[in-house]
Amino acid sequence: MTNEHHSESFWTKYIFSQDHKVIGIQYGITALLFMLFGFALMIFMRIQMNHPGTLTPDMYNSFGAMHGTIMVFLGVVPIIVGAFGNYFVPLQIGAPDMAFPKLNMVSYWSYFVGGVVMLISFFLPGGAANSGWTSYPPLANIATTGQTAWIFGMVFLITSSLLGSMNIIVTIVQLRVEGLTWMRLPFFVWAQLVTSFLLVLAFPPLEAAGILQLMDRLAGTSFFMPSGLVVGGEVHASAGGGSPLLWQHLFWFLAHPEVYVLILPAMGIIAEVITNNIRKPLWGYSLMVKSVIFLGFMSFVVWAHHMFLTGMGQGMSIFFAITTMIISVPSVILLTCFILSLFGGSIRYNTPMLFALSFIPMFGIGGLTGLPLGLPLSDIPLHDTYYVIGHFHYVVAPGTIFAIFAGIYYWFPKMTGKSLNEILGKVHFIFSFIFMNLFFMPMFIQGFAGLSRRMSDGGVSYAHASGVIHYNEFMMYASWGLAVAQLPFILNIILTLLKKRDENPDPNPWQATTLEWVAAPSPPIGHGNFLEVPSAYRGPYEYSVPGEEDDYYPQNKS
Amino acid sequence: MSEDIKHHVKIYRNVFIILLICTGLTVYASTIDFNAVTLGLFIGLLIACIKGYLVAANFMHLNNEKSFIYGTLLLAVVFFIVLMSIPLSWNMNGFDVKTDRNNAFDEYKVVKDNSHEHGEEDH
Amino acid sequence: MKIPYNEDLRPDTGLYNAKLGIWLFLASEVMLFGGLFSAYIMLRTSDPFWFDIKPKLNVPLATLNTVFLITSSVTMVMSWVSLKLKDLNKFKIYLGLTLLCSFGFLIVKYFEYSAKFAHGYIPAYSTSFACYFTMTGLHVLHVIGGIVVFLYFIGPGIKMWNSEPDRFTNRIEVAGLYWHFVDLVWIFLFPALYLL
Repeated sequence: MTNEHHSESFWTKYIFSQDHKVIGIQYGITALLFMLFGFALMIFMRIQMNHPGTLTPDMYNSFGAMHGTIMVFLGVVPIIVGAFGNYFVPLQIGAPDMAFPKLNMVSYWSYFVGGVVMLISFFLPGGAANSGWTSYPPLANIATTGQTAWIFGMVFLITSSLLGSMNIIVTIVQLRVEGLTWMRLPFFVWAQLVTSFLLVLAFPPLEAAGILQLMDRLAGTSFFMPSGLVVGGEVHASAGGGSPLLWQHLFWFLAHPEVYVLILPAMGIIAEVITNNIRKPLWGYSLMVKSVIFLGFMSFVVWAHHMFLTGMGQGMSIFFAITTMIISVPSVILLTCFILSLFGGSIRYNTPMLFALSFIPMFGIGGLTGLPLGLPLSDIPLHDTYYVIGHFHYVVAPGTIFAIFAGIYYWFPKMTGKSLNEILGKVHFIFSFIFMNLFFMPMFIQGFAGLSRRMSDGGVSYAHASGVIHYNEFMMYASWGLAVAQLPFILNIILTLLKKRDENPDPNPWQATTLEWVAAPSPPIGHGNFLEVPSAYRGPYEYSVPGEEDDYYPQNKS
Repeated sequence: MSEDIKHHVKIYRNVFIILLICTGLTVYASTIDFNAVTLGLFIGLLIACIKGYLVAANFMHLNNEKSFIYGTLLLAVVFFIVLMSIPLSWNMNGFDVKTDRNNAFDEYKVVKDNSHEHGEEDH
Repeated sequence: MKIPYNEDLRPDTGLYNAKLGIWLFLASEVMLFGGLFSAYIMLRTSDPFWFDIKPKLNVPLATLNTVFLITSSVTMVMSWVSLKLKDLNKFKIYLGLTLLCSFGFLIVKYFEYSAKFAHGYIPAYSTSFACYFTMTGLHVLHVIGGIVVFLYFIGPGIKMWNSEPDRFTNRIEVAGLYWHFVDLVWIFLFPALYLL
C-alpha cells in the first residue's frame, strides 16, 4: 500500500484532524471531561438536599437540568457513538477510515461548539437552563436567557449527531471488506448501525421543536402557549392557541429512541467483551441481530409512555402500553443471550469482563423496574417520583457507564499500545459497583413512598416523605464514595499513558478474533489502518474451534 | 449511452409538463367548494403526492436505483407517518376545519387587549 | 490513503458513498419538515380560535413560485445530464437557469413577506401566521443553502471538471438530489398552507 507523504502540521494532525482515530479520541476526552462536570453538578445537588442553602432553588434547578443534558448529550452519547463508534467501526470492518473524513471532523467540532454554548449558559443572567432536561413549556418558554442558549446548544449537538450517524451508516454499508457479509459483522457494528438509524430519523423532530420553541421565545409566537395563560398575575401576551402537549410529543418522539441510543452501543461493547472472555461464540448471534433491528423499529412507537399522566385519553394510553410491553421482548432476548453465552464458557475474570458481567444484573434491574412505568395504572403513582430516577439511572449508570468502562479497559491497548493496570482496574470496579448500588437502590424505596423528583429541598416539606427522607443523607455519602471510587481509574489512565511503551507491543493482547486486532497496536494516523487490507473468511466469534491450535480463529486468517 | 440519455431527457420533459398541469389542477381544485371538507383535503394531498412521486421517481432517479435506497427512504416514510399520528390522534373526532373563525378570533383579541396594557416580556 | 467507492459503485448496493449519504440526509430532512407539518396539523385541528390566513395569502404569487421551483428542478437534472454528455457549456447554461429560477423564488418571497409585515401580519400575530412564517422560512433557508452550493459549483468549484470529471458529475448529481427535495417540500407546503 502506498503512503502518500504529505506534510501535516500539528494543527491538521491532532486538532483539525480528519483521521477517525484522532477524532474518536477527541470525542472520548471531551466527553469524559463533560461527564466529570455533570457528575460534579449532581454532587452539589445532593449536598444541597442535605444542607439547604448550599444552592438557591433556581441554581438547583439549573444544576438538575444541566446534569441531565450534559450527561446524555455531552457525555454518554458522544462517548459510545462518537468515540467508540468512530474509532472502532472502521477498524472492525477493515476500512481505512470513515466514509466522509471531513464530515467527521465537522461533527466533532459542532459537538464541541454545542458543549461550549452549554457551559457558557451558566454565566448568563439568570443562569443556565432550569426547566429540566426535558425543557417543557410553558415554563421553558418564559424561563431566563439560559434556556435560549440551551436551544442553540442543542442545535449544534443535533447537527453533530446527524452528520456523525450518517457517516457511520454509509461507512458500514459501503466500506466493509471482502468477505464481511452482514451476518459476519461483529455485534458491536450491528448495534452502531441500528443506533445511527435511530439518530438520523429521531433527532430532526426535536430540532423542529427547538425551532418552534426559539420562535416562541424570540419572536413571540405561541406554538406551545395555550390561550389565556396567566403568568405572574398577568395574562401572557401572546396570540395563544398553542399546546404544551405538542412540545411533549415532539420531544419524546426523539427522547425515547434516544434512550435506546444510550443502551444499544453499550450492549455492543458488552457483546465484544463477553464473547472474548468466555472463549466461545456468542449464543444466539443471529437472534440478537434480529432482536436489535426489531428493537430499533419498535423504539419509534413507544414514546407516549412518558406522557401517560397528560390526559391523552384511554385509546392512546392503551396503544402505547401495548407497544411498550412488546418492546421489552427484544431487550429480554438480548440479555438472555448474554446470560446463556456464559454457560460452558472458560470465563476469564479480567477488569473489562467484570464490568461486562455486572452489566447483566444491573441492566436487568433497570429494565425490570421499567415495567411498572410502562403500564398506565402503575405509572400513575410512580410517575415523576424518585422511582423513575432510580429506574433510568440503573440502566444508564451501572448499565451504559459500566459498558463504557469495559470498553475503555478492553480497547485501551488497541488505542495506545499499552494495557491498563489490572489491580487498579479491579479496585475501580469493586468500589464503583458497591457505591452505584448503595446510591441508586434507595431511590426505588423513596419513589414508592411518593417522593417527587426535582425538589431542591429533597422533599423534606412533604409529610408523605417523612418515612424515606433519611435516605437522602445516606445517598449523599454514597455519591461521595462513588466519586472517590473513580480515582483509581483516573490514576490508572494517567500512569499508563506516562509509562514507556514496549518495543514491540502485542497487537492482540486479549487474543480476540475481530478485525480491529489485526491492525497495528495503536494504528498510525492518516495512513490507513492496515498494512494489508484484510479479508474476512468467517464469522466474528470463532473461539474454541475444534481442530484449531489456538482457542481463537481470527476473522482474517485464510 | 447517448440514446439512453436522450430517452431520459424526453421523460424529464414529459414529467415537467405533467407537473405544471398538476399544479394548475391543485389551484383549480382549491377553488371548488366540496361538500365534505375532508374530500377537498384528500384531493389536494393526493395531487401533491402524485407530484412528489413524479419528482422522486424521475428527477431523483429512484426508478433506476437498487433496492437499498428504497429501503432507507421507505423507513423514513414509515416513521413520517408515525409522526403524523401525533396530530391525527389528538383530534380523534376527525377533521372539523371551520372556515369562518376570523370573527371569533378578533373578538377574543379585543377581550385580551383590554385585559392588560403592556405587551413586553423579558425573554 | 483512498476511501473505496467514492466514485465507483459498490457492486451489491449499486451506490457510491455520497449518494447514500445524501439520501440519509434527505431522510432526516423528511423527519424535520415532518415534525413541522405534524405541529401545524395538530395546532390547526386543536385550536378553537384558529385564525384562517388563507384569504390573506397571495395564491397567484405562490403558484408562480411553484412554477419557478419545478422549472429549476428540471433545469437542475438537465445540467447533470449535460455533464454526463460531456457538454460543459450546456451544464453552465442549465445551472445558470436553475440559479435564475431560485433567485426568482426568493424575490417573490421577499415581496410576499414584506407585504405581510406591512399589514402587521408578523409571526406573533397568530399561531397560523407563526406556522406559515416558520415553515416557509425554514424552506427559504434551505433554498438559500442550495443557491450557495450552486454558486460554488458554477464558480470556483467548476475547476474539478478538468481534474476529476466523474467526481464532479457525482457532486452535481448529489446537489441535484438535495434540490429536488427542496422542490418536493414546496410541493407539499404550497397546498398545505395556501390552498387546503
